[in-house]
Amino acid sequence: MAEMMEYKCPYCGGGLEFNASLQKLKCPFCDSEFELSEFQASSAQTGTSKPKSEDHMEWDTQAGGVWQTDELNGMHVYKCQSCGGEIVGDETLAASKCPYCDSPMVMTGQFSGDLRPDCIIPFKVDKKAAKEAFASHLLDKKLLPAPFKDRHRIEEIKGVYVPFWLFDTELEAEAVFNCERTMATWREGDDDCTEIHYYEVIRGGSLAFDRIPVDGSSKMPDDLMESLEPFDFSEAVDFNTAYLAGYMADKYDVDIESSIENINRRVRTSAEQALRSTVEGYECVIPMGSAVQLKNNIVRYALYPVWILNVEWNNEKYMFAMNGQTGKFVGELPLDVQAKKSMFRKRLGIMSVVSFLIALAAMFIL
Amino acid sequence: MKKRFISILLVFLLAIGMTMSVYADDVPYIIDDCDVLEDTEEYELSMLADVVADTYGVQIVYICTDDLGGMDNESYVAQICGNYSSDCIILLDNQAEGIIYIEAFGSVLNVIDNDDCITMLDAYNGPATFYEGVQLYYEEAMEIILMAGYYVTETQAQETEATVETQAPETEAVVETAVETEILITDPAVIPEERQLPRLVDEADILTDAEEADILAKLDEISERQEFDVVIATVESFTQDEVKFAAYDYYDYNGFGYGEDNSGVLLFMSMSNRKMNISGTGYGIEAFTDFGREKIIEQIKPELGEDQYYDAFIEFASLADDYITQAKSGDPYDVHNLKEETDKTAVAGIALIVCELISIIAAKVTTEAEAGKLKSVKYATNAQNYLRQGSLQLTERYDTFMYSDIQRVYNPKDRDGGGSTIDSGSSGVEHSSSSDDF
Repeated sequence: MAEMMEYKCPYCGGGLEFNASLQKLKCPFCDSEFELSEFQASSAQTGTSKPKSEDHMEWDTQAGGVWQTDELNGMHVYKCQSCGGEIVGDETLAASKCPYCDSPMVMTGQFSGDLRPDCIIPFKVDKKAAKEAFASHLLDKKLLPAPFKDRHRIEEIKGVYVPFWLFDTELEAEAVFNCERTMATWREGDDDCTEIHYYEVIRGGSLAFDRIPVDGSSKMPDDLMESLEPFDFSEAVDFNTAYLAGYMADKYDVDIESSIENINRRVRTSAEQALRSTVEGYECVIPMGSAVQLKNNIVRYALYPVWILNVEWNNEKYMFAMNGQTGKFVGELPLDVQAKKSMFRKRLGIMSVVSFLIALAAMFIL
Repeated sequence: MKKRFISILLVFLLAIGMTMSVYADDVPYIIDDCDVLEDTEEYELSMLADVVADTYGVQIVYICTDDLGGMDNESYVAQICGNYSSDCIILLDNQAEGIIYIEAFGSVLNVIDNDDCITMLDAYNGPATFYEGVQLYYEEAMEIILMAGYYVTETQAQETEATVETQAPETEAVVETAVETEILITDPAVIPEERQLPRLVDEADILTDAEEADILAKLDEISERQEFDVVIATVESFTQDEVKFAAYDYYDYNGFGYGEDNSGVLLFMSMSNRKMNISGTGYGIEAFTDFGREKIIEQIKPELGEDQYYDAFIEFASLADDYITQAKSGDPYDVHNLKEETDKTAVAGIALIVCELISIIAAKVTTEAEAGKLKSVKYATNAQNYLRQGSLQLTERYDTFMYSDIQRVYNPKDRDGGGSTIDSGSSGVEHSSSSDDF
């Protein structure tokens, strides 16, 4: 592929030409002269521009409230003897098993301390609905090992209020893109020629995010919890311990600072995507960099409802979760490798015969 | 218009000539030893020559003979020239050798050049009968003389003779020029009417005698049956700029070809630089299209590359036979039917491979889709669900042009038009050809 570069005069925009006698680039319109090396450096700099501003992504880490003394009456801490997980709940959980590893738990004492949640989304999907959702989730899974479909395991499903940090922010963002636009195509001899113009595109603007959740429990896999999103915050209410009756409540053990890296990544990506959506008219858009400045940010502490089921199969543990508000069910199911190989062979055989017959028919028609 | 004027002038001169003596100074201008002209035709042409000589002082002579008395063309004409005035043009049709020779003498050399001589030869060669040929030769000679402003009265002619006599050395120089003219003219212009060589000429000696005999028998059989010369020639090297011109000249000047349009096909091979050419002439242009010739080269090239000349030549002969037969059916091998044939075979093979590939891909995709149903966990990469509606306010929007460039991608298009590209060598005879290395 042969390429012909064209450099524009910085003063008048005319196409620069290389003057052999001067050994310089010269503008035929305004007679400006440029050293080749100087212009190449300038051009290279232009092509790799970064945003003018810099990142500022600090968060106010104040969240949650203080427990009232009478609120904690009847609230106990249970500790798993196997995984060490701590659960908060009332006396009804005395005979329960750990929601994370299904091992027996023992009550270690009266719950105290820690932050009081700002708000809570109560369970909307009850245990019966959760079990039905899980059963239907297993349907139409041809490559699921047969023993895994045993319904009695579903009985172990547990309702847990999972601690989440909710991040609100307004921000200013700037993003730089390198873009290509095809101006003309034509044929010269045996060559297909395409004239492409290259642009540096900058977009800046303000936008806001409300209540982005990041789970505060180290026992809950982040990907599992993020797969449960979104939660509808409009149904959240001020926290009241009454909502915990009959359910478990996980204690947060991942602080806000530890969640900031995750939340900043998500905020930056969405800001870049929002600005990218305003870049139009180019065939190719390459993000070159962005800068984000957060302001007016708030962090809240909330409890979100999650149904959890742990299943052990072939010496491996599988955790499933269902959004206790929307009923969305997620979780990695095991794969029956032999069933997959068998399915592939059967389908390959059928499709080979079918496509061969189609090709044969096409040959006769042609 | 010019031609018509010359013809009217000739008729006028002929009418005058009818009233004059047939021979000037008892020297005939038309010498027909071979009786190619009727008596009346000879008489008319002689009168015309007489009038031209009287009017312009230039004697235009036509000789058709098969006996030069042991002399070569040049000597014979030089001897004959002595019977005429110093200003004359003599065209000799040597029937014994099939050579036509023309030479000018005296001050006529000042107004005619090689191209004029070729024009007169072409005029003589063009028509179907000798009578018409001689007429056109006179017509062209007249035109050349008139165009050059050459008008000599009898008195002026005598003065010219005197001048020539007194400037003998210069005249000698002029005569030498005339000899050079003859050398340039006779080689390229004389295309033999009959084939001069066998249909297989192995000058490069790359075949055994038995192989030669076998191939020649096949070429002769095909050529006579098809009435179309199928020729193979091998040479060590050639002097022309390109192998195709060497092939054209070889075909033309050796008299190959059937019929009036010299129909035939030649496979010409130069061994020193390993170049080959296939050229069609006459009906061969139609029967061996550009695409068709390239397909033949494709088929015989591997054997030539391995020095399997016998096999390659036999295959060429068979292909040529097939191509001629196909062309006679009214649909010569070309892009539309050769490509289709190639495509069908290729399509059948490709279709099977594609079928299997599609099956593998489809089976893999659908199986993976089934396996994918077991996975529903993934990290959230953004916070798009939590973006406040309508909150995006653009404050900065710049699109800055940096530079442009032109990308070129080599992409030759298929040649779908078909047919043959016409070309010609030094003789001017039309051919179409394809060349390659082997």
